[in-house]
Amino acid sequence: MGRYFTRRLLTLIPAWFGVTLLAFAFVHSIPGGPFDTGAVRPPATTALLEAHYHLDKPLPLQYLLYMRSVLTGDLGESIVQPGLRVSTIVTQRFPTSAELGAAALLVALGIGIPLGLVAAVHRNRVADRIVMVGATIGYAIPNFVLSILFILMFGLYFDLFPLGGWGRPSRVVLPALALGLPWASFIARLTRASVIETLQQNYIRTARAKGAGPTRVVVHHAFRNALMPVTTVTALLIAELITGSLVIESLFSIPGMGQYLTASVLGSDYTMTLGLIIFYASLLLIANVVVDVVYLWLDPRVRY
Amino acid sequence: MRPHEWTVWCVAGRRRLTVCALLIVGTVVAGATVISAASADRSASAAGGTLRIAITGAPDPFDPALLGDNRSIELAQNVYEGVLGVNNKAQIVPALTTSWNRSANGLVYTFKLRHGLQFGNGDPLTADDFVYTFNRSLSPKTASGTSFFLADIKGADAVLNGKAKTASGIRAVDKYTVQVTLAHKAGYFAAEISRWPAWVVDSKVIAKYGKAWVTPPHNIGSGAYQLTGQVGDQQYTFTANPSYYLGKPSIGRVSVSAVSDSTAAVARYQAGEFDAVVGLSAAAILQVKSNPTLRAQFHTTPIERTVWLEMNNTKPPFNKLAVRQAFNHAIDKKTIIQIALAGVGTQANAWLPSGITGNFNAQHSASTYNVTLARKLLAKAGYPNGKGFPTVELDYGINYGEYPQVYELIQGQLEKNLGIKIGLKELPINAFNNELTSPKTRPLLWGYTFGFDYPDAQELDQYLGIAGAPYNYDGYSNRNYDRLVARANTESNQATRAKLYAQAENVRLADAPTVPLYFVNQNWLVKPNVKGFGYSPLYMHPWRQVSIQP
Repeated sequence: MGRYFTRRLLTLIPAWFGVTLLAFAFVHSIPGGPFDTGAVRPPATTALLEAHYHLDKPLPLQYLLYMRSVLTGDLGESIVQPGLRVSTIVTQRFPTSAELGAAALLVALGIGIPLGLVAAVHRNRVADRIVMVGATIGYAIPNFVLSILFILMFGLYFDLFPLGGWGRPSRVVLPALALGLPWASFIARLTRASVIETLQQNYIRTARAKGAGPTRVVVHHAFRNALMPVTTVTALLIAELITGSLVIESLFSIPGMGQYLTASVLGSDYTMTLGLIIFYASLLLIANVVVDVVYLWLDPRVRY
Repeated sequence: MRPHEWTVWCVAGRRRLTVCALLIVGTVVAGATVISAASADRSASAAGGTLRIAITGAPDPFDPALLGDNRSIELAQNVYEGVLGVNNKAQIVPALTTSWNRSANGLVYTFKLRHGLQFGNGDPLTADDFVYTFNRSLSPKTASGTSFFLADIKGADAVLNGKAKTASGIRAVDKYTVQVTLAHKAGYFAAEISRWPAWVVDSKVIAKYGKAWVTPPHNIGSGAYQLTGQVGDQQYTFTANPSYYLGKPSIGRVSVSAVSDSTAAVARYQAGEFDAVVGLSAAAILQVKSNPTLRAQFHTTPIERTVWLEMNNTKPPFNKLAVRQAFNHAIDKKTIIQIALAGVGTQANAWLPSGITGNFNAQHSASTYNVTLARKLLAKAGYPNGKGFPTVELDYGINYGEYPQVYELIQGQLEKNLGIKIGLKELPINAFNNELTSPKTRPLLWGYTFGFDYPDAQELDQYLGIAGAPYNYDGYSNRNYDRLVARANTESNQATRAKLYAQAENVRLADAPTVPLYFVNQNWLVKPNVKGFGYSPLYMHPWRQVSIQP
């Protein structure tokens, strides 16, 4: 297993470099440079600025210069907001996005898994029908519609929660629900399908034959094995949720990273966009390895 | 299970142990977050004598040489000052100087500093600090985007190009006298040197902390307030400087929050979280206008920014004067302001906004709404009722939320009034500006805007107006205009300069190279007990002028 993981970690290196190269190519192919903001300056000043940020050099050289600074642990500084370091944005903004993502993940799993389980156990009965209709609706409504509905209902009409901002537990509730509920619907459907499939396995029949009660069969024998597909999805979901949702962040005025990534792409803030993409990519690559470890823990049959 | 049974369950096996450890860590982290958030709330509500302002987005880091957008500059002006400043009417006035003068030949500027000045940390502030500051802003290592404000100084070129460390034209005559010699006559230089690249910084602090000097607690200026706290890029705390030369300001603390969605900021203002909200979007303005209490607390004033329609003067159909004039008379600016800007804007019939030297008539007749005249002019140009008019696309960059509606209205008005159908193309702002830079990709018609960095007509005329100017994308060229602008730029007498810019503006408007649409209005909400809060044609009033009534 040790050898497997060493190999697995080594394959991350070319993948990581591939990501940086692709990101660099994409970022520089967007029309308009960081100094095309409409701010007035003589051409000589623009030339000096371009030289300062190496933008006057050929692209391959720019890539090498950039990678040199990244490999020495420096993600660089914003071109559009000079003095603002990418690492500052990561350390200040990422925790917020991660907190919101974690809360939304809690919603997705905490609501999705139990409901899916209930639906599976009560398969084709009233409870199942209600959960599945709810899940279909929940998955079909986009999160920005949900957000606005929540703001109108719980924020303005019933006045139960603050309309936006961050830093208090009460401010997390609405955005986490808006971000997490569509995924809870998805998880519920997935859990239901997976539990139903698992309940048809031979070893479940064996357990029943040994005299295990229905609850024990589901909770003790079927549930953990049924969690495999949910685990796979959860890994992808973590990536999806913690990277920050632009829509939710702007609707609830949450200071997350999503806004920065979008603004930096639109403003051709090359170093900022690249720095954030490289940060995300590194995170995702690590998350993939973590999922492999979790598989191992969940299913002792898995051997590497 | 009872607690001890949980413990037994947890320690029976490695996997169970992992689960328990994760649960415990998770609970502790969540608890700590809740507690820290709750205590942050308490400290905020306990504050007294605090002015709480919501702005639209995160400001730039607080290095005066590197400032770029207005919302950063209007905060930083409370922390830093220069030899000159601007007053609430956007006029140039002495700041850290008791007096200043310009030599008879217009080349030598002498500034007499106030005595006993010091930075917020107690470091004495003398003429040498200005010599350091000006050269620092010019240095290519600083990479200031506005170093050109000081580029007229003798020897500035050498510093800008990295060939010298100091410009020969910048000199500390004695401890209290700064002398600046220009390479050529520049009547607008006083306006330039009143702005942020010339706001004095403390060389000792920068030498000691390097790049970290811009963030609290290292950040130091000589202004009425010091930046003393910063939470991420969302929350900034400014504290009154007790050693400020005009005395300690009335408000002890100013807390500034960056809230990107202004409808959300208005809701939080209503909930009592803010004393003032600035820069409301059209959507937020409509929300405010539907509420009588908010409506009474809403204010607006024109700022020095013009929005206009630019036509490619070098290509048909806009190379014909009559076509350009027809477009000028066919657009109903009043309706645009009413609908797209929620009524908050000022009709523009001239290019230079009011309050700028050279603006002489914001109701110039070359650009007033007159459909009959517009149709007549279009027919004269050979396109009666728009017949035979080529396909034209109007491009615009998204830098204001109101733009799509502004240009959709223009599209409708041109069709209704002139029988001309135009297409619209919306681009991200940088891509849009990039498209304009090359004559090959430049469209026939586009929306453009300019906001003044310093209050002088020279900035607009020199960089966008004259033939060959770096941002003269419409290709407008008139020797008479260029000559008048050049004379106004070098003239020292401000009254003569104003006359010359006005003459130039007159020539330009007669040629109708653009359609002036509106002057942008700044707008804000402020609680009635806050006195003195407001906007000059350039920026927010300095906070030292503001007081809070009990």
